[in-house]
Amino acid sequence: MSSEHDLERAVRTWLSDGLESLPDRYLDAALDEVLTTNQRRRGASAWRPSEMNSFARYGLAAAAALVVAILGWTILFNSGPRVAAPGPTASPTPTASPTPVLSPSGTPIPVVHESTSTFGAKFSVPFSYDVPTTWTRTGVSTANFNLIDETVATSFGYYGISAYSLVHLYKDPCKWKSGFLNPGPESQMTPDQVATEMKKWPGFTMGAPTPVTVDGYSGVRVDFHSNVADTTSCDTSAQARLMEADAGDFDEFYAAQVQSRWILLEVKGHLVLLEVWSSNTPLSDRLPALQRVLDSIKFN
Amino acid sequence: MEQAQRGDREAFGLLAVPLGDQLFRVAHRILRDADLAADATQQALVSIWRDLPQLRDSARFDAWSYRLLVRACYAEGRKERRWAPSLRLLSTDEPIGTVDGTSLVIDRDQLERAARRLSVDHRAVVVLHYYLDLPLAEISALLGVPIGTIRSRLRYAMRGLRAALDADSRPTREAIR
Repeated sequence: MSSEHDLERAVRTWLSDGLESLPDRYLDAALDEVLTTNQRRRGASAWRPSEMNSFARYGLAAAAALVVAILGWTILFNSGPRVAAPGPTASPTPTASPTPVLSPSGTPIPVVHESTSTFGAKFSVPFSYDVPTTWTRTGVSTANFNLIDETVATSFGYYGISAYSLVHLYKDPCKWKSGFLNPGPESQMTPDQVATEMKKWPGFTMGAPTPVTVDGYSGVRVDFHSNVADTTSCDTSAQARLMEADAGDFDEFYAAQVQSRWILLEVKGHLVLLEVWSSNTPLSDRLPALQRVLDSIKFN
Repeated sequence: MEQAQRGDREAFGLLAVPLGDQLFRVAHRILRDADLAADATQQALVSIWRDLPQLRDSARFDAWSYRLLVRACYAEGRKERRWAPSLRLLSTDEPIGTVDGTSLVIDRDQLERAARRLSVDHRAVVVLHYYLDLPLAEISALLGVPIGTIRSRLRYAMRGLRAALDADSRPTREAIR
């Protein structure tokens, strides 16, 4: 074996030789199980491919800085049945275009004004915001939605904003099957109280709650990251589940790379959670773009 | 896929047929055991169904599916260390070329043995990189592991595989047994 090239060739040849078809009985068994398995609703945790951030483990700002600013709000609708994860809905209603933002190459990117009330997210506290047209909105359900900058998403460099309503915190994000932290919903708590409860998460390092205001509404910002060493032992391998939102959504992260910022706000009597996150690049690199959207939020 | 994402089991059934084979091929190459690979694939298919509504971007379905598959492979790999003897008959039509004087048949045998000494973590990286041709950055994103770790796993795995082949190419009693 004279060279790396020879070795790679041998490995490729070896790998080309293997079984090709899943035996029918296994496929049948899987489909039988599907018949009795309910799907999980969309959550702010919807999969974000990202490079793992060793920062989360070692406290360094790193490649997969997953920064979260969450604006969730609870009690999504006041009456009527809950709507199960509506599909794609009406496109945003662009209004007078706010000031364009600049792409990395300096090209102006138009910005549109959107309102949650126009695309079917039935939050109890609707809000509007300005977002570049290159961003997409995904995961719209009654309890959350996500805004992702698609100009970088193709290279797995996701960042964006998620919003959902927090109902319950899990007692242990790694061992989330152990249940909720509190029997009563956290949606009845104040932002400060929720921040205090979050400190109970084992294996997490929590920053001090910092006062913030968004559109004049006050709340707290909490930065945290996971120190879970062996994430494969988590109830969902390699992932931590932090909270459950209304309509059964939940927030889930790679346990070993969780570095998040939650912004908990009290708006018109409701607990609102905004999550601003970045993966694959440090949050500080993405914060200007994210902050622009955050700064544009107006609660209706 | 979008129908399945909205809860249509029939649509998922149609999706699952080619997807099952696609995932099984990868699982078998990672786990090196047909039963374990089939179990992992079955588990992955159910996970895919369950979590499908959470997939934000349907264009990333393949990568996302592989991620769930590798996770299932980890679970299967932990479950038991039962390695089947993995005797495979090679077709006489298969090319028996040589790589640096070592026949590919022997290479395969040695690689198989060397691969089984690697952890599932290491084998997964080798398979994702050399079988699926995924760039390291993408594997890093897919597995949620830093790219440095991926690079190191690949280096370690390839060193092990190389050692096996190099040992075999030496005229030792072990090699000619």
